[in-house]
Amino acid sequence: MKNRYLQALKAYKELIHSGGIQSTAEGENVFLDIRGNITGDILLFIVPKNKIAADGIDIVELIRSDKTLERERKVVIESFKQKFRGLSLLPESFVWVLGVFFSILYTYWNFDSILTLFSGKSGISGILSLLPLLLLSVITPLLGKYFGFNLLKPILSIISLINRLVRLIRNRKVEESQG
Amino acid sequence: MFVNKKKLEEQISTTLYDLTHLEINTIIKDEMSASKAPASPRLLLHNLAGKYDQKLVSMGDKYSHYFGASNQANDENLFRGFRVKDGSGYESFKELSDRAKEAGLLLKASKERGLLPEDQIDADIMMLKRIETISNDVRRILIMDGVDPVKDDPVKNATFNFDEKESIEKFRIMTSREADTYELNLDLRQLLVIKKANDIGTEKVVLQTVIGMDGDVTTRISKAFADQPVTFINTIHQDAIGISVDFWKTLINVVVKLGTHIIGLLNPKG
Repeated sequence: MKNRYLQALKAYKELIHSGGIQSTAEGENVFLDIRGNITGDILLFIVPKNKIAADGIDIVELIRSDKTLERERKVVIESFKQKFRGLSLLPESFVWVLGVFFSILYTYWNFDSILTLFSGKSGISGILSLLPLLLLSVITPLLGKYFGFNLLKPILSIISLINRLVRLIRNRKVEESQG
Repeated sequence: MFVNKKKLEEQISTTLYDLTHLEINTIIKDEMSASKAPASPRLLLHNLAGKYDQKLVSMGDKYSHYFGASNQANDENLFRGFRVKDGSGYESFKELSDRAKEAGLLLKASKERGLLPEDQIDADIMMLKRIETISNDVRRILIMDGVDPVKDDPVKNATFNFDEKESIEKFRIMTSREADTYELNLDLRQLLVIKKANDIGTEKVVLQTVIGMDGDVTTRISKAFADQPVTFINTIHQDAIGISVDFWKTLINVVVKLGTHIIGLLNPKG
């Protein structure tokens, strides 16, 4: 768990510094460079170590003859996957904390009903009162599919704000060092 | 009022499109650039303009055998020609867009008349279309209210013209605080558009997969790759799709959980 938070911290640090996350690997003949951003878009670059046009080398031949590339692919993909997992940890933790908060509130407001339910005295009307909750629970995932990514917007705004703050602090330091 | 509403609607719909679609591109680059992409949006744009100009010139050279030598007086050959606006402001991208458009029309017409060899020409026409489209997207961003502080400030406007290379050079050597006052004020979506355009540049996209939340999945494969497929490229592209979809799934689950918590809380007391 501690490792996951460390990974998350590293991933967010990279995101703030460069606006995205990146993993690279080097085979015998080619480089692999994967870049991703917070919206989940990925750019995957395959780059020959020597310039293709100048030497007239075929990239396909370079890939096929590279014996270490398969191993490097696994390494770079795993590293990139870890970084993306790190990025999703913040919203996950945020929702977990909110969940705990809501559960406490719910228990506080409905303490009497919960006691009745546990005592085994709840009738048809009690079950019917839970029906709207059941229906909404079915609808929520569907709605979530359409509006899910809107949750990212506040996170994007926070990252943008941190970025601006970092820039401001850095600029001040530059100015101070220049006297 | 109406214009603002329309602009807001456009912004919401483009943001929704970005947030409800995943795009995975596999690109083959000719060579690795040693320098890192600049963090400043202005310098990113300047990089991009340079890449587009270089590509137009090299494509012009490639077809010079069929169209004759470069001649800036000849509008038809503009895509090989002399760069008038050598900066990266609104007019510079207009010039790049016009050059790409003219060149695309020239290539298409020559292809129809059978004047050019078939191989590669479709890929080149697509590349010109990319230059034209992205240049227009950049212009649309630059013209927006509040984006370019130089455009909105008459004093700065009189001394700085980012359509000229000299202004970019001056900007490059400014202190960070001073540069910040001339820097473009982009929101995150606009910055992502420019960063992505600069990352892809004029490189060959061999595989592109776009996944929509409505379930649509579109994969585009370049002709060259389709003629000579490589298992390794397919596999790594699939890996990238897997990572992207997993990330998306996790975020959707987060939202679903959040929704369930809220609904649970709002449930009428039993």
